Amino acid sequence: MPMDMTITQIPYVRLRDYLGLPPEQKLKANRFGEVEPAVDLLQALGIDLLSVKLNSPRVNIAPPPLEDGTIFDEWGVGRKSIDVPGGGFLLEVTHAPFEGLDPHDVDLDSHPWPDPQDPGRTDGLAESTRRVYEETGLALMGRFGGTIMELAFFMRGMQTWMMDLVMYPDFAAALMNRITDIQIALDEAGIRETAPYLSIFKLSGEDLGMQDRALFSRKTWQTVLRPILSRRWKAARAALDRYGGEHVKLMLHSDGAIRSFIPDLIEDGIEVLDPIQVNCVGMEFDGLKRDFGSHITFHGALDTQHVLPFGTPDEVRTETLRTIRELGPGGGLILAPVHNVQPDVPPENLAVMCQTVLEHGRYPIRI
Amino acid sequence: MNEFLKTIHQAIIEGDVTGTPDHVQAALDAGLGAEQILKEGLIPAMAEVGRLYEEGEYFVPEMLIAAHSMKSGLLLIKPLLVGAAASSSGTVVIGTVKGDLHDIGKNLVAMMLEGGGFQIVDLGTDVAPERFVTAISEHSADIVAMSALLTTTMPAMRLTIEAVEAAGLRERVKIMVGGAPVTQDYANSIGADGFAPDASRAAQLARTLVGAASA
Repeated sequence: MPMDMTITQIPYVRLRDYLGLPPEQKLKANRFGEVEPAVDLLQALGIDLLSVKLNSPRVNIAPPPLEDGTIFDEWGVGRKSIDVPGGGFLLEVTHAPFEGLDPHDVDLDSHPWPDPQDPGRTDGLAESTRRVYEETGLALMGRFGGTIMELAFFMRGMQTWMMDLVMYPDFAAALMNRITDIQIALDEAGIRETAPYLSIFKLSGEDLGMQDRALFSRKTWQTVLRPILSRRWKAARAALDRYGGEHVKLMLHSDGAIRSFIPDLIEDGIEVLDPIQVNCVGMEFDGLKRDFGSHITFHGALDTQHVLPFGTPDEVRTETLRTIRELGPGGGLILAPVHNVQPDVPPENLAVMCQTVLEHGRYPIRI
Repeated sequence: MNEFLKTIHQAIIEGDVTGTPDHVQAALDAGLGAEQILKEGLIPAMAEVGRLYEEGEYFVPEMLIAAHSMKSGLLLIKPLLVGAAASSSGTVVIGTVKGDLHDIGKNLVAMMLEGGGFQIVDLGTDVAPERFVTAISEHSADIVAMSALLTTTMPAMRLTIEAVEAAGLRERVKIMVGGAPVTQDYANSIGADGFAPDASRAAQLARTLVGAASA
């Protein structure tokens, strides 16, 4: 059964050391603190997937950093680095360009939106993707455009955006549609260059749930959110089909207790669902497999709230076996930690997780 | 129920952010007392909002809007509440722990508690243990409420409780915790007095904790 892992810098360095691999010289973390694992580590652990992303635009329109350490991205969202207890950092959003404004005073047209056609994004992308595809034998997961809802609330302030959804739905939709147009163009730019080499296309993250329930009412979902999100998903499917990626599976990331949305996601073309947050209400494995297992593949599922960070290696092994046994039979599971691996996960636990999959995750599943 | 109070009650439940203060003003103009408006208008309305959330009819957006409506009404009557501390249900010091900037859950709890008649001292986010300790003394807190969304910041809850103990203040306050990765087991293991899985039940828990304290 395939395996995947997203990991932040500190546990990655520890994991390399634990596995006896030489330290990597030039590690570059993205704004989630994540690093791209090197091929030697992926092969040592039996991990099957590698990410393919767009390059940086030639023209950087991000506003310059502030003296207090705030750094901006090309959407105008500002972030500060917050130290994580136990090591590492998180870049947390601290500045939202449309925060505190009455919707009637927000001029979407005059905001400096990123240019999806900037050629820097796709410079060399087709060639580098082809090389990785041919030389490593790894499965490739393309990820080009970014989020829609999350970016909207980064630009508006999360609390304000949530209230907009009910109080000013037309404004909420206008902002999200503007973002969607750009994300669709970014998806297409990357898909055009790489589609034949991809196994999965990741649609980025649209969190619909919290720990114990959906974030939004059915009404908000049907009338505001679903039309916008599904427009992006259908555009990605069309682009994949147009550029030689008919075989590529569409994957959506959505955190939390999202069971009630799954039938709609399937209807709108989602084929792989990530991360299957096991501790959330309604996300119990047996029910998901029974009700949706023949329609979608599950990506993720290995608990990062309790077992991976705080469990013993034996507990990690038991939980990995349980995950394989309940979600794996018949296919349709790509096992991965639910969340990107944080510094509180010991390297031994990651190694045990992978080892358990290699030993017991062979088809037909017999556990 | 009095017509004015009914209108205020309805406005909060419907999330009428601009209308609620108008209705509160109308009630004041008609001679209703600030305390009556709070106890018979705002507090029952927020309890109903909490019930609607627990029943799965209201979600976070609806709760936020209702809470903001209540807050906009509360702003008008707060200055008029005589001996505010004496008539309140208790004082709560609330914050998101060190290293964590997540605040919507914490804000909802603060609003539900305020709508439940508590005095709130909101320390914000990324709150070091020492700041919780200082706030307890400064505001004669009855309750300390801590929020964490990340497994990596949860340990700050334990550190904060230890700091409260070290300052000799542990017996003076009840400590409650919440946030997505937090569980009853975790709360027990760090010596907290209570855990609540959502803002509505946090308000109920707070009432229980102060009730127990005064018993």
